Amino acid sequence: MTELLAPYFASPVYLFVLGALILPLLPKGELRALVTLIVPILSGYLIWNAAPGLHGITTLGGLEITMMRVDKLSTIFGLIFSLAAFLSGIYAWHVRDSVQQIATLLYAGTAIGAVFAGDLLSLFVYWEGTALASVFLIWARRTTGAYATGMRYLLIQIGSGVILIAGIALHYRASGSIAFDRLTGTGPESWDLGVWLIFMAFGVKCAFPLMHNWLQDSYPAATVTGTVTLSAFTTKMAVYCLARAFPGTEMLIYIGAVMTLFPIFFAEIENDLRRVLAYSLNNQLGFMVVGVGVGTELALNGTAAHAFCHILYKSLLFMSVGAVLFRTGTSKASELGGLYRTMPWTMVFCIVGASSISAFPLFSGFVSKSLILDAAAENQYPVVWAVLVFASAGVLSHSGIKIPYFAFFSHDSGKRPKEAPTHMLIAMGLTAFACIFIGVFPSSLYALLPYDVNYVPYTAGHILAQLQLLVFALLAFALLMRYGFFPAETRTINLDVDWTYRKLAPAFLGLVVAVVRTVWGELARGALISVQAGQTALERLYGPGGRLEQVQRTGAMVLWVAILLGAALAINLITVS
Amino acid sequence: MPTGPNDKITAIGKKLTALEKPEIIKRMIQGLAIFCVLLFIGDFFHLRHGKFESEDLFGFYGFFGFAAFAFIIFATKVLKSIIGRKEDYYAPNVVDAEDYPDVELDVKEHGDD
Repeated sequence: MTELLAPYFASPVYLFVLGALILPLLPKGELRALVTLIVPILSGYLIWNAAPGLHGITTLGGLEITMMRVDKLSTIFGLIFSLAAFLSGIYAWHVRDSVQQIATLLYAGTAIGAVFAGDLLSLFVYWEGTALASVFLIWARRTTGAYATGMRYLLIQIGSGVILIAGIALHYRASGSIAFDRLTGTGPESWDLGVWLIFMAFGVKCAFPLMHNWLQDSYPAATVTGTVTLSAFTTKMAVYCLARAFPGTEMLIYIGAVMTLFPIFFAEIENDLRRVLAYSLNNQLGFMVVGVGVGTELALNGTAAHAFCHILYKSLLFMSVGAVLFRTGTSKASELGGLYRTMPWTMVFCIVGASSISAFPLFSGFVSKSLILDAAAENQYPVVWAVLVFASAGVLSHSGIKIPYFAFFSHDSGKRPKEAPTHMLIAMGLTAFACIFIGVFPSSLYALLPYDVNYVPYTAGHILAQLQLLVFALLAFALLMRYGFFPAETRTINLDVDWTYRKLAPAFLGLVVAVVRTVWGELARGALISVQAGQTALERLYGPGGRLEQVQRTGAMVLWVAILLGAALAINLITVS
Repeated sequence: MPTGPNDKITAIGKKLTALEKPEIIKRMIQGLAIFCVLLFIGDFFHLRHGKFESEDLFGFYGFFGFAAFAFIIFATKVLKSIIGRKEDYYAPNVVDAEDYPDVELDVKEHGDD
């Protein structure tokens, strides 16, 4: 028995599952909160000390399962996930809702499981695990809107899992392997349908353009602490998967470039500061995806480094806006302003996060983003490079300026909220410290990167270039503000891709239903005849001696199940919108 | 706009209220402009050896940053007029039109215990 189970203890996931099991047995209060801190510490310790190589190898139904693949790429993601779980645990010290505590543990655990998975089947299990666990962080808000948003989120996340399992099955049929390794082959033209589906599944969770909107829809709907947790895992797990399976896929360079670009405009007009941050998260993912697409050692180092830094400064920004929401009941820019008066510490930490994401010298974003930009330039992608520089100015506009400015400065909202509680300040303080530490001592981060680093971020030319970009943009902001060109925040929302499945598709469906109802009598008669004909045709295909019965029985079945599941998910998505 | 009393704020907050004085704002913008000029002058030293020719143009990053920022602000004004909707556009299946539930929060004023 122990031998059978031993492989499953190779991955730190079991710590999180154990934690989730023990937590409800403890009395409500600080002991439970303590579990959410101890588990990530232990996990980080295990990962730090794990020997490189493959561990926890077992077979399941004839397929080789690898629970724990330790190399530098998986380790850096495992470490930052553990650190993020720890920091969000401190931030959520006041939470007494065990649903959220358990969901956080399982969510972090499955995300860590995913980055250490050595085969696609385990990856799939963890992939769905993150979806199922994380949705409770949205539902925990316990309102009608949060319930519907959670449903939309879950359907898309599960949908990505359905695409993934269909891809894995087809890929297995084509290649006979479920190894979670480089799937690029000789380029996209050599990909079988299975690889394409796996790529798409990663793309959904990575918030590729047009597949991105679940992120901005759901993250602002989660609880104060839930959003901080959500911001760390799902999307970076997808970035890791892309870096593992699709490095050097040129298409990703262009996908990533678009991702850095369009969210800037949406973030700029968004009123809810937590949604501004969700758009900004999308924009940051773009930089990482470009890095994966370029695929050189420098670029992949850039992706890993940027994911690491991004998780920290994005958490920090979500924490600071969360603290404002916690104390004032709103995170809308139109309702806030002038909070520096009574929340100065939160303001300072928010500015540290804003400076880090904007990549000011001495802050973490500066030492990680430049790896990706230089990699794009070195490989002669001038347009992409220009887009990334433009996007860097864009980051300053929506995250660097907008977030701190509208929350803490701007006009005086008259609100005089109490400073954030001590545990939130500690969480923010630690995260802010990490952002500055990495910015000042980049070698500490570079030592963790997948490949050897021969890169000096602090050259006079580089500092001057970055300061010119940012300070001139700041001047533009100041002048636009001074002369009244800067748009005021209003209580509005903005349409995005989700409009198609929240308004257009239901309207279209309504139209179809009306038409069907009118001509029902005639159709029913026709349908009966078609069903009979169809039955005969199916029997010919699948019946004894039928064509599909003879070939690819399993593959066809998996495909049909996946298509049916996909259709069911799509219909659900339309009806809950 | 409602303006709350400034006597009920933190010591750091009190000091920072000076930043709201028009003459201080004016000075800050002037300071920023001077900093920009200095950064611009920095390009005389040819410190940058960019991968692309355009990078080495005089003040390239400065102009790029200024223009990009201004473009974003003006473009978003147009965008908002097209895709902006009222908060309850998707109600009731959206959180934007709801209040955040109080049980999850600890709404307190400065000076409260």
